[in-house]
Amino acid sequence: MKLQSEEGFISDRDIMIAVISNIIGLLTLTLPRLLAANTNSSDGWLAIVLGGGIVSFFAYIVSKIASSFPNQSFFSYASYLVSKPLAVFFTLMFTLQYLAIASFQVREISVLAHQYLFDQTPREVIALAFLLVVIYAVSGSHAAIFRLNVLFLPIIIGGLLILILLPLGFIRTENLLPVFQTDIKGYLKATYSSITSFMGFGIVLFYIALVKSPENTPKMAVRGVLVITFLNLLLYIVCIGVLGNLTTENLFFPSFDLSRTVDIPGGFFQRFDSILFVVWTMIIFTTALMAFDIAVMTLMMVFEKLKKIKVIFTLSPILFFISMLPKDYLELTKVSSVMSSFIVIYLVIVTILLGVAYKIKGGNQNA
Amino acid sequence: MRRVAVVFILIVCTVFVSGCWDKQEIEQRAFVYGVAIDLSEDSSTSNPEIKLTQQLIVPENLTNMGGGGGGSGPAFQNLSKTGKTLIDISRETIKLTSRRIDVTHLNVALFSEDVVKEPKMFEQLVDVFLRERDARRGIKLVIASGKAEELLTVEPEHEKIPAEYINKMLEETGNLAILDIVRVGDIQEKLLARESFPIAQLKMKNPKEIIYEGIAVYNGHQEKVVGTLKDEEAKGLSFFRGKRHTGTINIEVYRKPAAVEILKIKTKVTLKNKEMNNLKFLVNVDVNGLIAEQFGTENVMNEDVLREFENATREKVEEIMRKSVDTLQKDFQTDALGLGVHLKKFHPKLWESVKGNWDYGENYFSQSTIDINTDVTIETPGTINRTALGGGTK
Repeated sequence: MKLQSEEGFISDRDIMIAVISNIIGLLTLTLPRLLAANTNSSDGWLAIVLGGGIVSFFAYIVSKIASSFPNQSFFSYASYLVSKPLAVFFTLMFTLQYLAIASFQVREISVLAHQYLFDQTPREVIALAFLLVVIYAVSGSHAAIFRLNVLFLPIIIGGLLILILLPLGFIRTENLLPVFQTDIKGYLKATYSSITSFMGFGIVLFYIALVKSPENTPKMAVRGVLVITFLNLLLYIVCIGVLGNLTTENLFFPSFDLSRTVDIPGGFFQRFDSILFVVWTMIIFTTALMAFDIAVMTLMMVFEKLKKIKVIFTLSPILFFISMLPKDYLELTKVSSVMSSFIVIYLVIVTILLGVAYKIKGGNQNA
Repeated sequence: MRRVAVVFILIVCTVFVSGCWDKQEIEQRAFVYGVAIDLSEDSSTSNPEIKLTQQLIVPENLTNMGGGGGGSGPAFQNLSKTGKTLIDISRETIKLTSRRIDVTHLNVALFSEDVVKEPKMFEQLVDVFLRERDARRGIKLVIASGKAEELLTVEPEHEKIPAEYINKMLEETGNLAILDIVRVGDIQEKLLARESFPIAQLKMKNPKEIIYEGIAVYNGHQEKVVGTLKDEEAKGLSFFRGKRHTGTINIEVYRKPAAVEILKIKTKVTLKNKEMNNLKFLVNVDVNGLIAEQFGTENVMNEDVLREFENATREKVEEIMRKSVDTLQKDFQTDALGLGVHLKKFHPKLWESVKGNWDYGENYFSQSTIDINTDVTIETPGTINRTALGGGTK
């Protein structure tokens, strides 16, 4: 059950890049707020390190399992490991989950654009414009998606580095001290928040099937997670140092507001938040793109006879509809927290079940 | 047929795709450079009303080039309105200008004394500057003695826009009587933590000049400005928490006036006694300076003279620091020195137990002892030894 004509064309480095661009997403914008709400001063950094560590472990297991079935789709090796009916269930759940993720991204980009850029343009129009580009990209080949990731990565990382470096001069030590004043409960909550922000690593389950020789892929996936851990760590410390713990807790998008704090001398680029907005759009675009792609891909694994383009055109209106469901920002926040809990729990369950089955069957006997 | 369809689609596209909901012509925008907030004349405690003055730019008069049609009037226009909320007033102003108010380049927000002495009013008014998406978090907040709107009518000699004049003045760091300027982004953290903080206060000296009145002190618990440190008291505060600002102080050497330029201030606070009712702080201040001016005719190459300069400076610094500490502890009972922040940073356990009554209620701040220890180094004498020989002591 191989993916016809599409197998084995990406390298394991592409997986690392995909993991990076998928994890950096909306939650990068809000993560400092979630951490600051549960920890004192700059203690949230520990939660990021812990979260990153735990997620790297999971990313390793998941990609280890996936890469021991080279060029086989998730559905095919899941059927082998945990029987076919269960695999159908798992796969369809992933379809729903990634569809929800993609619509959440579409909704949030429209909220963000609406809030910081256009206040006249209807939210639906912004969302639709964004979605159309996503649809166009998904309609192409998988190879195109990975090339796009490679193309965007320097811009995304560069943008984040600018965001981190420019406000360095505004850091106040009084915001960073004292250290380790948070109670255990706060750390646990913060670590959980940080884990939810790393959930993008789940894509390796599906994309490893496309890797030519996946021996090193687990290492690469872990490396991707570690890169993000490091970036998140820097971003968090700068956020707390510049804005302060209490302010970070009270900003909706602290990472974005960081760019509004800084004036670049010289007048021309006095405000660089509008330039960074381009980077954020790209960041959210790659996440939405891969989420939608996986939703389409998983559906086609179960229903092999379907045509890709038809699946896309059926799912797109549904996606748009879901994205417009939440009424206001409060509902959106609730949806976001329920969704991320679900993603975490589901991914952990799937990983454990597959892992146990993998151990019992003693690896891939067919290989 | 196919070709016709393509052409048709392209034509339809030009109609529907080129639209832009959020287009804003630059001529349609009215840029605000500064705002002033006063209490309205008919305001009462039960029914507070505020008066917002917005300084808009008149671009035609800003440049000198426009030979013909350009008017020669002022390059700014002050519009005042009263109302309940700032946004409401600002929207009202649109009717006067028929242009859209744009706060992207807003630099200075002036609050009149009446406003900030009204409890809670300041924090209520700051909200909109943080919430508004176009406003930067770098807007400078200052207090104005008397009417804030008057400061926006100043006619400086070489600056066309009053708000720009005030902004440049605030960016100037060569004055000890002023601290780091409070930016609206920093204030959010302080208000959330109910921390007390100093904030610059300006005064209109004459229609052409604005001067520093001193440093207003905001009490985080009373949620209002409790008083203003003036002149030397204000300079004294700079030695506690000044980072960027330096300037000169006047001293007396061998009974002749002299001025020392302060180049660098390094302040280190240590907690000596941890007993809640009798906290004891030791403040170590390292000052580097140079001799800026002397009326006497001393030989500054002489070591005794140099020591004398250093001693005089040290005494002066300790004296003015003591003055500001006394005023803050006794009169204002408000910690603008940043000692609370020091406790929070380095003694978090102790801070937890005192923070509810720090500069409020029990007021542990007023009860604490603050020792000051100064060390002055005069690095250079300037470029000359002395101007006249005269009858120098040494």
